Amino acid sequence: MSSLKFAEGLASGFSGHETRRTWSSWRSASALGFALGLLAVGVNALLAAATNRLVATPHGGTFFMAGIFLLLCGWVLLGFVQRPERHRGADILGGLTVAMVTVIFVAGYLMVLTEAVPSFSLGLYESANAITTTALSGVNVEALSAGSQVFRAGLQWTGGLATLLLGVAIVPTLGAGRDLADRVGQSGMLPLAPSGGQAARNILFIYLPLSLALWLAFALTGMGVFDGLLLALSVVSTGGLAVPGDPFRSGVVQWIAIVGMSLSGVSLVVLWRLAQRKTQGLWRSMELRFYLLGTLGLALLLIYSADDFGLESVRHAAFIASSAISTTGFAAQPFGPWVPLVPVAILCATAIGGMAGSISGGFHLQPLVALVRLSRRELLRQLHPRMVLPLRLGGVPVDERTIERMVVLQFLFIATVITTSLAVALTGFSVVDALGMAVHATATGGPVRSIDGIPQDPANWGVLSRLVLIPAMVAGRMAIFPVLVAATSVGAVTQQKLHFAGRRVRKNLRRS
Amino acid sequence: MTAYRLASSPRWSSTTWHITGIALQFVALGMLFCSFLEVNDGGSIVPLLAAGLFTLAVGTVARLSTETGKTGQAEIFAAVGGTWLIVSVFGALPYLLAATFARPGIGFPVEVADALFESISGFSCTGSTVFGAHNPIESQGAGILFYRQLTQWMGGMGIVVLVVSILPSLRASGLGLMSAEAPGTGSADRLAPRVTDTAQRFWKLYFVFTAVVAGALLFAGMSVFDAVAHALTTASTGGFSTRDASIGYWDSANIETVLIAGMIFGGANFTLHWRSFNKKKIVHFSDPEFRGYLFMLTAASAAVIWILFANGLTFGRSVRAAVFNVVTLGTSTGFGNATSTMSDGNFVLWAGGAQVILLILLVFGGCTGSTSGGVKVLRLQVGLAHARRSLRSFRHPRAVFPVFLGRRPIPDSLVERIAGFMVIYAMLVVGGTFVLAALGTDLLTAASGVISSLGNMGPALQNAGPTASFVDGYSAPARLVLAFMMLVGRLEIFPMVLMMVAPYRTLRHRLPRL
Repeated sequence: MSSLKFAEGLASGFSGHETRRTWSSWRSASALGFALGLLAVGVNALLAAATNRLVATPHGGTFFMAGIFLLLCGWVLLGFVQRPERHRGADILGGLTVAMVTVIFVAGYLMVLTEAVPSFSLGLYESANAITTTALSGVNVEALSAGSQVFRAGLQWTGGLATLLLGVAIVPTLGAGRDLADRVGQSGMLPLAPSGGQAARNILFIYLPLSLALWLAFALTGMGVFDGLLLALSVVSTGGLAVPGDPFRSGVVQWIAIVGMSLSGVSLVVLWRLAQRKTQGLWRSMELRFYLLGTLGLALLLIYSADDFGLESVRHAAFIASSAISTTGFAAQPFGPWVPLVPVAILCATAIGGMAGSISGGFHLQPLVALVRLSRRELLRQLHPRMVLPLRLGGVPVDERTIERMVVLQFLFIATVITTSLAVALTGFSVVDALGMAVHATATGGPVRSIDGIPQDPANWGVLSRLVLIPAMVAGRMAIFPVLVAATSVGAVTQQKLHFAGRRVRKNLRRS
Repeated sequence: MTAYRLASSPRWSSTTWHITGIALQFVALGMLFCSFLEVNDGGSIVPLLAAGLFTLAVGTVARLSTETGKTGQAEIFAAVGGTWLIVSVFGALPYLLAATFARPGIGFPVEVADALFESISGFSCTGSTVFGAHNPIESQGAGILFYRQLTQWMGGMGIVVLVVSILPSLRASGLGLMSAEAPGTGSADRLAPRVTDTAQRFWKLYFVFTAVVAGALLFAGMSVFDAVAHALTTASTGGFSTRDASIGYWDSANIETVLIAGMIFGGANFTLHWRSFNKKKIVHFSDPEFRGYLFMLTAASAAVIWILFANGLTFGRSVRAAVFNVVTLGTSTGFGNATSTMSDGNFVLWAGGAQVILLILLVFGGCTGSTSGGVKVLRLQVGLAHARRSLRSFRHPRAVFPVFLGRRPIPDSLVERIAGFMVIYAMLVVGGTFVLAALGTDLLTAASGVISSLGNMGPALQNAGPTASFVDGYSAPARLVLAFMMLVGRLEIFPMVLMMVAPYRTLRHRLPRL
């Protein structure tokens, strides 16, 4: 806090004013988002610099200088912003979008500086892949320095954390977690805690130990502390970026990854209750049941398709199923012939993703469950047009605005997939490939598979094709709404500014 | 005599069977008319005549032994869904009796499945076909060919609308029946105070439109038979053709131009046509849905022209291939202008971008109150306005924003209904794709087949393109699933899904007494 005050003093020194006007909500939120983005990249760059220093690989200096510079800029900017008494909800979502975009641009440029990628456009793609936890990277991980590997893994982890924090804002909006929420005092609106700040702390309380536990488990399998760290960060954040070597040759590593990925696809509310040992009534959550049954069903389909019921087959099937449903996206090879249903099922599983309020991407199961109930209500309404039929989730009636948002979310999700498919297809891909790429980018999962199940290598895709996937990745990672809210806010502010500017010009013209 | 006895005896109260009976009588008349065409062409009169007489007998018995009963929502859905299902089954009789789809190596069940598929594809105006290289369309007699076209024409304006037009006893419930069948937002527009008059006006307009298209096609170079046959499927936006290569057989820009105009007209709201005709002034452009429809077709055409041109076709060839195929899919007609499998019109060979645009068009469809299928432009416009409202409510959580279409506010109840419809539609697409994939179809063929069937479009992508048969792309069970999807799409989901509610309720009340 005192450092922040110092930064504020420094900022007021720069501007030459002792007392400054409070900023408007959107301006303040955007600036704070920008500052947070700089800080996030700065911290990861310093970690990368420390790693490079430890293992004596090149570019440690670049990471160090960039990290210090970014931290300083972010810190000063934090102090410079004169926050209003309260930020509007829409502006917070806009600020988070600004933070995400800032990370993509700054981290992308830093990747170019450290020679991890040859061009800025590829840097943008790779940084977007990391921060949005999409596993569609085209970089050869073996050729990267240790620092660059940590930088990418750190960005993934940050992206996972950002998703959870965003969940605090988005989850109640979509009515998720209601069936497990502590209904005392808050009528079930905030599932984790009575206030946003407390919820954020609780999230860290779950996310950090889970990451550490996975790191420890991987390290104990004998794969090495460094590789274990990279893999743990990749699993816990559902990032799915490749790690050096082939760690999944080991059955134990694969089982740990299966558990890790499955937990990452579970709602934080469930994890929180598990951590609190309040397991009673967990099975009441229809979303949780759907999630577990979906994973089991997909694994069984894979086993049936491969026609091999051995233990190794079960492990491979569970790995592919949990990787798809949690949208982690490790590029596992098919382990037998696949019937045509398998690629469709995997694509659907990736598009739907895990539970709402989890780290996984995709449309999420909660809105899907709600939409199934909405369809049932609509059918009943056809028979009894004047009947009042409230929609219930976890026994609690959901207000119409929440339902409206779920329907709109479905509409926007499909629109994002279709628009991205069109953009990708225009760069020369077939419809199936374009659709697969669009679904995986929007659901932030991977890998894109050909019809026979072989994962495609994104390194073979053109630069333009990769660039058009970035908006879908960002929109998908942020549950679409925040990006569009930010876009409409920018549109509204620009329209307002243009209106005032036009009025001023007209006034001046009249005067002259 | 038997008919007299039936008419004078006490009647069984069943709206479904009463309406189905009349509908079957209409279909039978069509079969009988086509049997004479078949004789004229040198074929056998037996299959069509036998099918016609049998259908007429069943229809007459059903009509005379029943009277309209309860007309609650459940009964209306049962009547509309049941009528379509039964008419489709009887519509398959001529194909079965003429052994149209019999070929070596398939059993009778597959033959039945194919006959049902063709019949349902006809009545629902889908235009997908199981004819192909193994069983060419052109090897069929004139009667069967004309019967195929006629099924689409009947289904285009609606079999139930046809029944309502001659059944004044239905009164207000006739509007409910029309609304359940008419493509739109669930409320049929009234052209006259009486429902029967409204239905008659729709059919008159439809008949005149068909005659005008037939005349124009004749003038453009088709024979009388082909011109009338194609006019029937243009007005209904059905897409069946009397040739294996569809419109590509003629390779004529004039014919394609006439068809483009006809399809655009058929895909627009018939209420607008009637009003324009009545007021002697074009009122179409005052309708936001029609403007959106034209914009969609224009934008899609321009984009596809650009893609084809960029891929090496000349500008003229790009325009011809793009505009025809965009309009035929955008209006859910499904004609093809490919002269061979490697020609410009075979959109399966187009670049991925163009195919994605066509896939989007397969979903959109034409206007409400038209003969076209798909989700409909109005629903998409309301969906977009709904999304915009939701985004604005994030910025202004306490503000109340009505949804506007043009300058007209849309009631929230209608917005909710449209939202519900779109959710169910999306689920059907995903569920249908899943089922088809489970039956051994690849992803693109499965997804595009389901979208095409639900939207009553006709051709799909990959293995079921404009020059392919559905036999090549789908197994027999998959074709039956698609046939069901066609009926679901034609009746806009609810009547088909809820048609069993009324019989279930009746059974539930009667069973304890047994």
